[in-house]
Amino acid sequence: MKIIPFATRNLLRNKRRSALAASSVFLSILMIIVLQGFTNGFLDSMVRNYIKNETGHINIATTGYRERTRFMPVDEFIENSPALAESIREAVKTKDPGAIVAERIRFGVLLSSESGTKEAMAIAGDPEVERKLLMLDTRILPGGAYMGSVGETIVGETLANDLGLKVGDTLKVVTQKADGGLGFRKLRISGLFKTSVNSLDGMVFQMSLQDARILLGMDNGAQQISVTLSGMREVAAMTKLVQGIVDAHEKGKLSVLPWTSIGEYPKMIQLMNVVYYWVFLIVALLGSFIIANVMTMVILERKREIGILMSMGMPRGKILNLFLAEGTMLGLIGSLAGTAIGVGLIMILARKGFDMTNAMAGFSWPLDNVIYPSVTPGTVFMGIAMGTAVSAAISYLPSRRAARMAPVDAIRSA
Amino acid sequence: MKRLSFRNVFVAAGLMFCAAIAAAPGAQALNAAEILAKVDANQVYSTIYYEGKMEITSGSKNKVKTMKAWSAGSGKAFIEFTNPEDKGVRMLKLEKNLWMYFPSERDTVKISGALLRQGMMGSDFSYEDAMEPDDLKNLYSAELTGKEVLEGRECFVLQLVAKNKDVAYAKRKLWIDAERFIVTKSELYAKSGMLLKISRTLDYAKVGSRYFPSVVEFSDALKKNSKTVMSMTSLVLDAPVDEGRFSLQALTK
Repeated sequence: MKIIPFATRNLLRNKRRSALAASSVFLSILMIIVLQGFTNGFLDSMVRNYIKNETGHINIATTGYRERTRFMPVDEFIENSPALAESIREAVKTKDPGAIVAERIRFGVLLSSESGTKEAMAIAGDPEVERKLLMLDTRILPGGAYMGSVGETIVGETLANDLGLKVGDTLKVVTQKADGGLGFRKLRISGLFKTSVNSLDGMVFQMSLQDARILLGMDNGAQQISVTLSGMREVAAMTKLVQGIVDAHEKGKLSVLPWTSIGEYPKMIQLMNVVYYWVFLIVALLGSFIIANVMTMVILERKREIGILMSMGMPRGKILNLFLAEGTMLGLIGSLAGTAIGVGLIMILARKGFDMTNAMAGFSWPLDNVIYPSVTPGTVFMGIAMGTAVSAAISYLPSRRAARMAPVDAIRSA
Repeated sequence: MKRLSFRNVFVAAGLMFCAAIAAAPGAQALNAAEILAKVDANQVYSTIYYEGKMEITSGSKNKVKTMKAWSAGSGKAFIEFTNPEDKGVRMLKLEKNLWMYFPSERDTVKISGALLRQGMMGSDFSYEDAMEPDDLKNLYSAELTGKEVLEGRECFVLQLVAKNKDVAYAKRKLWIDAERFIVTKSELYAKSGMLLKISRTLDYAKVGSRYFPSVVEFSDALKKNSKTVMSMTSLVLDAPVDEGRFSLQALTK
C-alpha cells in the first residue's frame, strides 16, 4: 500500500479539520518569515554601514592600535601609509577591480563654537576615495557642497545645529596630537549632510587626510588602512593576500584582520542570529502543537479503523508511517502557504521600507533609519523546512501510540 | 646646715634639663594643620616667574618642552612655550577657565571637559593639575600619621582628605621635610582609593627665607614607563607682575 496517497485521502476525508490544523502552522510560519525579513533588513543595514564606514572588509592597523581601538588613539599610526596602501591597491585590484583601499584616521575631538563646546568624532580620509565609501557627498543638504580642498569640512546636520553653525562658518577643532600635546585647526564648513543615521548626523564631521595629519602631527601616516571588497565571498582569501604584503612592508608591527574579528558588532550580529533562530523555532513549535492535538483526536476517532487495518495484516511500522505522513503533510501545506504569503508581504513592504527614525533616536548604532526588509533563498528554505520538520516531530508521539494499539482492543473499544 | 644629697642634686638637674628642652624652639609637637600652614607659607606666593623645562618620558619616547611662566596667586597663570615644535603656543588660566593660543591658526580656544584631564603637552601633569589651587590647608582636612625617613631626611607623614568635591584628587598622602617644610613626596588618590599620580621633589631652591621645590618629578600611576620632570630656573617669587599679562589680549599679541 502506498502511504502518501492513503494519507492524502485520509486528510481529505475531513477537510475542515485538516485546514484548521494546517492554518496554525501557516500562521506561525508567516510570522517567522515576516520577522526574518525584518531581521535581514536590520542586520544587512548594520553590516553594510559597519563595513563601509568603520572597518572595510579587511582592516590594517598597528598592534598597539588594536589594543586600544576603543579610545581611537592617535599616537598609534602606520608610518608611511601611502606606500603601503598603494602596494595593497595594486595587488588587490588584480583580483577585485572594484575593491577600494582607503587610508583613514578617526579620532575624538572637542569642537568649539560661540554657543559652547561639544565632543564629536572626526573621520579623515581622501575625499575622493570617501565618495565611494562614506558617500556623504550624496547626502549634502541644499546650500552646501562637498569638501573641495584642504581646509574644508562637511558636518552632520544635527551636530551643526547643536553648535549653532551653518555653511560658510568656521569649525574650530581641538584634540590631542600624536605626541600628546594639544592640536588646533580651523576648517571652513563647505556643507552639511543628513544621512538619517543618528551615529553620523549627530556626532561626525568629515575632513581631509591632509588636514588631519597637520592637526595631529602625524606626518605621512594613517591610523588604519581599510580594504572594501565588491562582495563578502573573497574576504578570507584577500585577507591572506593583504597579510603577505603587510609582512613584506613591516613584519610584526601591523595587524591585518577581517571585519568579523573587529569590534563588538560582528559578535553582536552572530549572537542576534542565534537568538532569532531559537525564537523562530519556539514560534514554529507553538504553531505545530495544534497538529499534535488534531492527530491525537484523529487517532482516537479512527481506533476501530486502525484495529481493522492491523488485523488485515498492516505492519505496525506502516501504521506509524501513515499517521506520521498525515501530520507531516499538514505541516508542509501550512509551511508552503505561510512562506508564500510571507515572502509576498515582505516584497511589498520592502518597496517603501520602515521609517524607524523616532525609534532609533537614542541609538548610535551603524544603522539606517529606514529599514528595508528582505528575503533570501535561505529564508524561504528555512520557513518550509522548519514548519515541516517541527510538524513531523510533533506528530511522532501520537503516531507511535496508534502503532502500538492492540488490534482486538482497538476494534472492541470503538 | 644640711648637706645637699647627690640624689637631690641629680633630680633637680634633671628637672632643669627637661624644662630647657621644653622651652627650646621647635621642640613643641606640631599638629597637621600647623605643618600644612608652614608648607603653604613656603609654596604659596603672590607672584612667581620662572623659566621651565619639562622632560617627558613615555615608554621609549622622550620629549623636551621649554617655557616661560608667570603666575599671580593661585587664580592667574600665563605660560608661553619656547621649544621649536611648540614655539608661540600660549596658555592662560583665569580662575577655573583655561585658554590656549595656537600661532599656526592665529586663534584662541577655550579648553574644557575631558581635554582638561589630558597631560599638558603630553606630560603626566594634566591641565586639571595646573588648575588646582595650591593652598592645601583650605582644601583638605589633614591628619598627622607619623614620621618617616625619606631619602635621608626626616619627614612628617600626612593623610589629607578633600573637604569638597571641587578638587582633582580626593585624597593625598604627603611626606613633608620636617626641617624645610617642603613636600618631598606626594601620592594622589581618587575617591575610590586608587593611586593616580606620584610626585617627588628632586631639588629645591632657597628664595629668601623660603624653600621652594625647583625640580619635581611627576609620574602617572596608571601608565607604565611614564614620567615628567619639571625643572624651574630663574625663579623669582613675589616680584611685581604686570596685570595685563593675565588677559586674553596678551594671549594673542
